[in-house]
Amino acid sequence: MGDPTATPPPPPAATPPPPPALPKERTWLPLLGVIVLIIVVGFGGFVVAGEPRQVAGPPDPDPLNRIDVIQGVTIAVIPGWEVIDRYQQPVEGGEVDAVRLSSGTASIDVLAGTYDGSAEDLHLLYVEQVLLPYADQLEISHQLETFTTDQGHQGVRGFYLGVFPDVQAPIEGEVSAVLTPEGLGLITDGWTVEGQLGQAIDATRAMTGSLEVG
Amino acid sequence: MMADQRLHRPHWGYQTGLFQWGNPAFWLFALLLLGGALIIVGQLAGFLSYSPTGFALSWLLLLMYAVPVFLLVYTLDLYEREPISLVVAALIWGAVGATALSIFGNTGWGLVIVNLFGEEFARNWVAALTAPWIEEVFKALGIVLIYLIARREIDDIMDGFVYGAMVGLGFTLVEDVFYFMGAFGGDVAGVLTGFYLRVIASGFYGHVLYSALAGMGIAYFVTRKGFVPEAKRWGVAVGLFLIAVFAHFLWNSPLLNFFPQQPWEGVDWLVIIFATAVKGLPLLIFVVLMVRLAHQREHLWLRAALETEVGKPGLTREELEALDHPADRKRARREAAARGGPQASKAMKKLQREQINLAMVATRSHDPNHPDLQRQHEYCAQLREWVQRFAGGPTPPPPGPEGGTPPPPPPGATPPGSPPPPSA
Repeated sequence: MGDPTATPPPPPAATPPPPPALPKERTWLPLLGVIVLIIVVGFGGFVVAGEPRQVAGPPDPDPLNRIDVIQGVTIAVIPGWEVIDRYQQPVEGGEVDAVRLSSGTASIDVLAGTYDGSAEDLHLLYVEQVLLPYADQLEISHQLETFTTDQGHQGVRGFYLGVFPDVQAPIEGEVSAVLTPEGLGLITDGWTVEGQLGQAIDATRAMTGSLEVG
Repeated sequence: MMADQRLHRPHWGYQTGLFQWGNPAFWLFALLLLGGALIIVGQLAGFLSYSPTGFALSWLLLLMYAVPVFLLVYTLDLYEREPISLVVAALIWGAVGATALSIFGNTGWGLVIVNLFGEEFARNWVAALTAPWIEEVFKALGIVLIYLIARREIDDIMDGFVYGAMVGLGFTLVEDVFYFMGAFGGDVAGVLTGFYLRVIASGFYGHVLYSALAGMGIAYFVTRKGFVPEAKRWGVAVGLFLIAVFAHFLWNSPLLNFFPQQPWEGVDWLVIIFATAVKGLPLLIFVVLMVRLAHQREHLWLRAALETEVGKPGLTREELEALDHPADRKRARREAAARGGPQASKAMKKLQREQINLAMVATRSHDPNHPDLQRQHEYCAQLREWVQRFAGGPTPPPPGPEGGTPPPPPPGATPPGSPPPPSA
């Protein structure tokens, strides 16, 4: 066996020739193409969809276009949204009146009924009795945010992301729970296909804020 | 045998890096990476805050997948490993550049699908109709930018494969974390379920393959200029890109969906393996075949470049045979180690690397009497002699400053401190 302390001989000290010049190519044209593709593919959809106003912010709820959720509870509808369903939502011990509005790209379910707990409990109740039983997978935000409606009622809200049967894309949404001094509990659930809630969140919050009793 | 003139010559031996300060493509690349990083890191920070355990577990599991894939892809380039700065840049582009841009693209074009076809349709099809185009475009743009930054580095199809696969790997890592923490809940059970579904059952089929395929197309386009008609270059590049998009579409669509109904129990977990294979295995086989073809081309190049050098001081026929196959190269190093210890193995490795460099020098110096070619031969011959000393041959004093008198420098050598020859 040879000497283990030996080191390799120094490399040949020849200086390699400089690399041949690359053939002249247009540098700016492909770069311009990259920029154009980024703009078209990344942001063209918003233009084609004709929804730049949602990026800037939704119009205010139309105070003249209020609909009843239940007798005595109304919500102002933002232009472009419409009622697409009225239904009874089963919960423990009965059913709750509900209405679904949609803009085509987003939906909001509004529920109203008597309730004597806290807004946090009402939020949890909705998650446990309405979302969880239908979801294959569901993640809810641990921290709830407080807010006040235009009429001055206190509420809490939090996000969720879920996978539901027969729906290919995950659904994301925001559930808001509002209590009124009259002993009413109001729920709104604004939801979209995952990745699109950001476009609709201002609208669903504005409508939630417009909930009125009396 | 003369090198086949129909074969495009790679620019082996020329190494550049990411940081091309005077190149506008570098600055665009850097700007997009910075913007993307701000968006993606912000979202990841949100995941971290609501489930630190799930977040840490997600990355731990994904590292177990990513490190072997990284090494596999990196070493698939048999003769000229890509500069690590560019490889890492490709990985980061996939992780933050392509993902951030895709968030905007998927949202905007998702709105178009919803407006055109309604929400019910969009729930099932939006992921199939938007993401494949948008994500593949943005991943491919990363490869294009890397080419524009360092044009010499993409000199054959395997280079496009490496950069494309790295972009895809970066993309899939971040996307997996989003899924583990979002769609799968972010708790330990959810993360493990997500890992099974997206990595164990389908880790070989996704973004790494898609963008590797697109990268091969881009590499074909840019390296065959002057060798192949433009229409064919476009056809191959666009064709491979469309195959990647179609495979991605199939994966995201409800078509060929053999997934069992949830909740999954018992044999369902095996059915998932079958379901993912139905959608992903054909593309995997296709890409493996493409890589084999690309490897065959590299073998051809090495042969073409070195055939005329056999019998000269730096290369014997037996060495060329060993050099042509990674397994034979390893065997030669093992044999050297058995005879002369680890130092002999290292010396053999260096000899092999310099013989590959000999091919690179040969491809760029068209004159067989070119001084650089002769010097490289001389150097290889010295290395061979040194390997033989380690391996128990005649025992002249070991070379080098620590071991004795070094071999005489080749004729015409410049003083110490001159730049070394290019490395592989």
